[in-house]
Amino acid sequence: MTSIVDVHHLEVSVEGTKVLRNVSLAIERGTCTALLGANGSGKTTFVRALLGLQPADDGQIIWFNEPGVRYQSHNRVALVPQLLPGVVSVPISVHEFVASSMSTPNHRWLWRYTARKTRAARVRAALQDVDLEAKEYRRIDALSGGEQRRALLARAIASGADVFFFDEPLAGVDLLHQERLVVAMQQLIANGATVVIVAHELEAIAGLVTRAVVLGGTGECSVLYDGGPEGIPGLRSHEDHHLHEHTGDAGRLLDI
Amino acid sequence: MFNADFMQRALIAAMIVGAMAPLIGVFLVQRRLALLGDGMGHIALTGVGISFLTGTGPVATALVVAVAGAVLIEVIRTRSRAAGDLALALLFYGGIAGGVLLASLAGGRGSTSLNAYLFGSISTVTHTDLYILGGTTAVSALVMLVFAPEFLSISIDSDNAVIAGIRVRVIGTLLAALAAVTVVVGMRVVGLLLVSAIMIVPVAAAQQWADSFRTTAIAAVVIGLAATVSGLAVSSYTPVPPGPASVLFALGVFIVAALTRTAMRAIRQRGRI
Repeated sequence: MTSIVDVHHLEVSVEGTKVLRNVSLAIERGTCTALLGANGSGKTTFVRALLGLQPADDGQIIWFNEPGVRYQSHNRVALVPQLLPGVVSVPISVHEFVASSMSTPNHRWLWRYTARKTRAARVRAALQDVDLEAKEYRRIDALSGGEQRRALLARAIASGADVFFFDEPLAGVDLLHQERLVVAMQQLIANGATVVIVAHELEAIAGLVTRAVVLGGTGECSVLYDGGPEGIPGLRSHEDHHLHEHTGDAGRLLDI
Repeated sequence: MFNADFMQRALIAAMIVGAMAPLIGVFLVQRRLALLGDGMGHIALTGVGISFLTGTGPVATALVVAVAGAVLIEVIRTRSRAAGDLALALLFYGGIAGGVLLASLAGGRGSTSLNAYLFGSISTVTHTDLYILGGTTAVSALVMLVFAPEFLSISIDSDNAVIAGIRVRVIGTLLAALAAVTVVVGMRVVGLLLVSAIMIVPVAAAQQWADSFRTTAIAAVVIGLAATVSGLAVSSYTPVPPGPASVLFALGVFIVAALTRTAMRAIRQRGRI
């Protein structure tokens, strides 16, 4: 399997406190990885460091097997954050928000000369994927929380990415919208996308995940567990959920 | 009233400012930098002071100083989040104090005409000014046209802009430089102390009713044009300088827009009950 990103001995501090120690792992193409851990275990920091949003103290991050090449030059990676970035000060329509991911330098000239219709069609297709086409010309801040999550996903889809990072995609979303989001993520994976989900609530995504990484170690290495989801009690079905208190460390280390 | 030669020059300058300032301002408001233009006005004042002292053209000198200030501000802002706020305040106060000091050193000519730069004056727009304004506006408009998608992207979500491969610092500095240029362009007609109001107030008024970034920008430009042109008209009949008249006009539009919106909401809610 080819890897999307290889991480070697990554060390990251946030405001002077070491959050990630000696993290080495590779994410393979077409997989769905759950990144788990208690609050403050460094899950989000790890993703931010991978994406260059958080400077690393030490270690190496190699994207697409090309050392020294910015991952951005491929236009293949998207982050679906937990919430809309800050409070929206100026009104922004859902259409404009989704289209904002298409204005990258790499497709800029294409973007300029692509007919307006084609561009709009791509935005509409992304909105259809997340079942939000009816709200295309609403203000983004007038959408409900669940709808905003889907708009964030549509923005990632419209960017043309095939590697998706989800930051707590289901936290604070009601069950109906959780299901819709899971279906959307399922579709991405079925289309060959690589997905990494930072998660707290495990049951809802259990069907998607092929691998689980648990962060939060305080010793030499921040990775507590890295393997199949079957090793994580929380990822089992509801019925044997109660087992988790009797199983090994990994279960207790999770905040579930 | 716009027949006199100086009035025509002032009118052209006013229209340039009225259209351009809100166009930059809409990005500044979204980036939560509504007061950036204000600070740049302070820094540009030092440029005016320098021009009094050295005899160089005030518009050109202020342009150089303000753009340099804009770059410095962006560097300070991005390097140190915590100390950034304080550093900016120091820079702004230094700018205005420096401007007044230098103008006073230049003697009688400086200190008396400083008012024209602070609050605008219809009789001060020269032919040379107009050429500089026209040139810088053409360049700014071109930059705006090419980089508007990037400006929007960093304004909506700078993390996402980084992931999309946009050099957020470079684009942010470019936007700040454009704001500096606009401040200087507006110096003659609206004045350095109030020009940033023409960047921000029309946007605040426009966003009361708009439901997209595009409509906000268009409405803000219309309001901005109406404000500067009517400010100029008021100034030609009364002793009021054009700057305060323009800003009060824009504020009036804002108040009406905000009140009607609140009223509409109340009516709609009552209808629901």
